[in-house]
Amino acid sequence: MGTDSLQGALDLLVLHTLQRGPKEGMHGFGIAEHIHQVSSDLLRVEEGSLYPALHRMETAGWIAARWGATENRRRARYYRLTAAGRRQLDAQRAGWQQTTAAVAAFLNA
Amino acid sequence: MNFPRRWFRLMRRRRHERDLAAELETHLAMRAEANQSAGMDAGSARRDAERRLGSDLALRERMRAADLPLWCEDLFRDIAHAGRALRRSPGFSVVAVLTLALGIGGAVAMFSVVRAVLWNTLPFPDPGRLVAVEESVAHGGSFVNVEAPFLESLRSVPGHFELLGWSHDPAVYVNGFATDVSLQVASPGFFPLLGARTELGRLCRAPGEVLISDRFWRLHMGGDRAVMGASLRLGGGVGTIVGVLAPGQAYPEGADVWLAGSPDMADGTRIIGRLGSGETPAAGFARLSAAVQVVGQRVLRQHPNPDVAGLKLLRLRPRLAQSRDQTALGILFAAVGCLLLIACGNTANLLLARGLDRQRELAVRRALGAGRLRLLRLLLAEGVWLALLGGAAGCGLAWLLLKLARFGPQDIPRLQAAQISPVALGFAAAVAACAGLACACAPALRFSRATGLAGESSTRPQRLGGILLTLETALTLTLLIGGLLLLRTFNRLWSAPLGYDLQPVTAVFVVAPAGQALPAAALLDRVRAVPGIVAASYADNLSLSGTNSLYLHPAGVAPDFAPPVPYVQIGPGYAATLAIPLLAGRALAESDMQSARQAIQPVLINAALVQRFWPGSSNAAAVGKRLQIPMGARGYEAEVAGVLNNTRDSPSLSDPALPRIYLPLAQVRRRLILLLRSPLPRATLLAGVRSAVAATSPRLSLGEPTALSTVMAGDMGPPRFRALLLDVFAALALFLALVGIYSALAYRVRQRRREIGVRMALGADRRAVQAMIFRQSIVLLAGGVITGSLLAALATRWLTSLLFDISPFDPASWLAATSALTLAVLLASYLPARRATQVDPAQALRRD
Repeated sequence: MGTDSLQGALDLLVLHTLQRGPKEGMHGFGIAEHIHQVSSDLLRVEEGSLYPALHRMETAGWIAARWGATENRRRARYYRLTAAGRRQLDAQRAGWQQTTAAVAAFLNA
Repeated sequence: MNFPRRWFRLMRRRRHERDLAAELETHLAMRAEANQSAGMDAGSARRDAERRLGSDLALRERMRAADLPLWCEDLFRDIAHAGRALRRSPGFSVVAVLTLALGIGGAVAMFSVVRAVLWNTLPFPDPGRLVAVEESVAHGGSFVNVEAPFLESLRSVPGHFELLGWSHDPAVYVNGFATDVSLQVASPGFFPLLGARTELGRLCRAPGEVLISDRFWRLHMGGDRAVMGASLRLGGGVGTIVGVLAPGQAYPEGADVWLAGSPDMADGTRIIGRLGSGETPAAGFARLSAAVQVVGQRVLRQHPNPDVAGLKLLRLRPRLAQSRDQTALGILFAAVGCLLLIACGNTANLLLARGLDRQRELAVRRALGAGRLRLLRLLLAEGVWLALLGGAAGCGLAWLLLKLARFGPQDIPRLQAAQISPVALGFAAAVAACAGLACACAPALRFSRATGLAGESSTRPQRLGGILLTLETALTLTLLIGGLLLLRTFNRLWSAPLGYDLQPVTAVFVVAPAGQALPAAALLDRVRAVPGIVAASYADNLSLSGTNSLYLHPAGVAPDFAPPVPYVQIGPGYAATLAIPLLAGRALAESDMQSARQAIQPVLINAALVQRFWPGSSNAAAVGKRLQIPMGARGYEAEVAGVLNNTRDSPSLSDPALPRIYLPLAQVRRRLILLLRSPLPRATLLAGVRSAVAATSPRLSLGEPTALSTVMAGDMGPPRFRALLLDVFAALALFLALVGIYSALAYRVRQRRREIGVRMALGADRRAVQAMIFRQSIVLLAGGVITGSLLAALATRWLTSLLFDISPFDPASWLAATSALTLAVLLASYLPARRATQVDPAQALRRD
């Protein structure tokens, strides 16, 4: 995935992951791995883009962060979805589906 | 994230930086662990994790940029950094700041003047509540004066009213000489009602106390603080000076001395009031207006007067600036705007040139991970600094300019009152911010794009700089042409025939003590006998055009509403004393003064008035015609005895000659102005006149003799001031353009040093290299001259109303302006061109 061109897609993937994820939130590594596994290696998040994106969404208020401990007793930053993030996710999801449907219809025509 | 938390984070930057590092470190450790469990050894697991994450520095920079609080903090950092960078190159900073200060200072000073002169309301607190009571006249219009019966009845109206009286009679004496300053008599509560401010001392409280204007204080008392408590000799007695009004606080504008007392209703009184603060100005005005009208009608029933229709309440408003002044101010404001643009262009050029020098630094920053926005911000921060410093210095300059404006013409209302107000400071801040951004924007956008180290060969900044320089030269040319046109106008005004000869004429006030008539005829006889006096006469007014005017019309013709005709009341021999040619008929003689008020009064008119009333008629045919003069209760008829040549005079030196009428000064009141034509020096003359006056009546006092030509010079004030200001702006613009062109060319030559070195190493001779540099300036100049000519052609059309006897396309002015500009450009390119050829090829090639 390119850094900027599919930034919207990256946001969508992250927000979606957090919605499905555990209640206490997920850390950056966990998000990256989750996207990787669920998409059966098809989507690979560029790790260098993930963290700036997380911080950007935090500033925008879509996600909130807190420090917590991993199962290996490591300090990690856990992100979880906020109400604004949930609304954002719905909007982005709808937008994405519309776009893909339009592109698919175009290709099938 | 909510604001307090943002602020909290902003304050905890260190911790936040540690957090960023920790978050990334956790990620690296987890990735390495995952790699190891997939079978990698510890070292390559870690390296793979680091490779996947990418450059740690760049990543953290991007994360920081994503965090708003950190972004803000970085902004302050950038500003501090830009400040240090500017301090490191003081030469550049000083030139840039001074250039901006010139532009901003001029704009702020001009803004303050325009605001004071054109837009201002009365300079007193809550001016919307100030009202005046006037008499409305039966045929429309209104008299300012309110007559005695009305005044008495107004006392019953609820409201706060104070009186201001004109008193033309008691003269004000300075250093033993009577002056032409008229005394205003105000009830003691008058100035407190206005809410006027004093510069020194306090407002009047008791009768007998005197307030003086700032102008009178400076002009006649040398601005001496010791005048507080001093006594001022007045015609009727002595007053004690208790205060000096602050500049612009005089009411009516232009008055100089106020005596607290009871105004004499015979001299004319004005009633000024202030609406109570209990209700809105509109409601208070409506209520009081009704009450005042009722009083007016009641008084009219008791004292019928066919000329007066009643009383009315008016809002007190400041005197309007003349439309000519408005145009002049508009043009000066535009000129200052040009200057500001030139200053911005210059600074932008300086920043561009400096950017070329810093390209390498910027490229390194970029390579180290600074985002484009971050670089843009860094460059804009320099603009912010320049704007701050330039704005502050500009305000100082504006303050200085406004101090100087006190020496400007006295007859533009409120010019003296212009000061740096909070609004002007706001304007300064806005102008400075715009200027700073405008200067910084072009270079910032240009250089933030610099990628890699290849930026050095870029020619784009040069092209942008070239456009800026062309615009600058164009604006400079426009200003130069405008300035020269006004200068030539002024010179023409100065040398144009006036229609009379004032050079050897001296004016002296003569004032009789209160209650005595001035024996004008006897005085004139004695004065004429003084040796050395060629001709003598008198008039009621020093201003040659007369400050008063009349709605007169030919007898038997219905009055039209054409502009009123200015008049002067004159004694016998007036035309001969001022050497105004008599075109037809006869001049006024002593017997005409005696016959006044009896049968039909003989008057003199000028040729322009003949053409207005009887178009196409010859001057001789106008002699003997009758005019209706609306003076006195019923007006009277006058007969044209003679026609005088047109004279040009104030307040419209550049207008075609205005119609004028000269009435015999029939009723000499307590003062008149003696006009003496004599080749003798003024001091010698004065001794003879003094004894002649003393011989007429020992109780007459004399004013200080003044040359009539200096009165005329005073009338030349506004055009001279306009020309001077615009020429100062033009000179500043030329200077700025010179500096701008020089610095830009010099930088370019430095930039091309290597290329020039190669050329010379390959055998180009010095002259060819010089020609190359010159060619650049010529292209620049040609572009500037063409654009500037178009601009000037548009701008000078606007100037037309201020020009006299000169076309806006006056070839001499255009040629002179273009030559001056060409000279400046060549001068500015000479030094860089010379320096270019002094490049040592070996050295130039070895650099870098």
